[in-house]
Amino acid sequence: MTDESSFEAFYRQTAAPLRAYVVRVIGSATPADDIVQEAYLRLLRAPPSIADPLQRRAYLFRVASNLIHDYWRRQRRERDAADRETSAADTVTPDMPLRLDMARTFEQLRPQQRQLMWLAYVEGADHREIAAALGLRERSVRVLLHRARRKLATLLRQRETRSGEPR
Amino acid sequence: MSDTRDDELVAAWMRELAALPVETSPLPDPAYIWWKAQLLEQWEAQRTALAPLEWGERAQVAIGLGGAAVLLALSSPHLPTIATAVLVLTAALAAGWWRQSLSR
Repeated sequence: MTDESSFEAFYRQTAAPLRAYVVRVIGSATPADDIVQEAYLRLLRAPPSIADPLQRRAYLFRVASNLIHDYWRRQRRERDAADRETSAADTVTPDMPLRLDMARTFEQLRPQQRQLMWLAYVEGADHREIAAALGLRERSVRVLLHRARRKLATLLRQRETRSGEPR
Repeated sequence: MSDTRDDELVAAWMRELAALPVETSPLPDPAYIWWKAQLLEQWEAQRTALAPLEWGERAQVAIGLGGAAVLLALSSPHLPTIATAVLVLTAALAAGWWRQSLSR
């Protein structure tokens, strides 16, 4: 990616899915935009020697995943109740109950579980790619993904049960 | 509930979640990101190129101060040597910090 037009083509293909990944995983839109922009800047400033666009896309997600971890580390240091409230309000608009409900359900997973689930189910990444993106071992991905899937299934069943209860 | 059923439920729900629009501002223009990367690259190159010059300037200041101290010591034999050394060291450190703060 040595010229502007090839970068633009790559950006048009990857920016929206990358932002969706970051927003859903961290649960907040504003820092997600910063992370997305920083991921592209890092890609441009230290371009990997990868010709295959799919591999380059995987590399971009790996950079973004590292930035997400940095963000979480910072958040852990600064965390307080007010921050969490801001984060929840930033995620979705209150006039969208479905989005709110789905986003909240997804946020009940642990951060790493959200990454695993998104990469596996939305990005269609295989275990090897997920392991590379998240800095895990391939065998661990299998186990962690299974647990994340089981937890989400439990949450969804609880949600169904709750919505089926008479009010 | 079986794993297959869980998997189907989760896969369908994840597809639904992925289809929801993300409520954020429009994505930045790729030309802006490209320009910003170029600009950062240029700044980095400038910083790297100027680094030896900055060190040179610091060395010049230190040598100048050292020379002045030597002259002072030679011209004023009554001045205690230790006091001169402390004065010179303090001045050199202050000059270094000042130069560093200017370069930031």
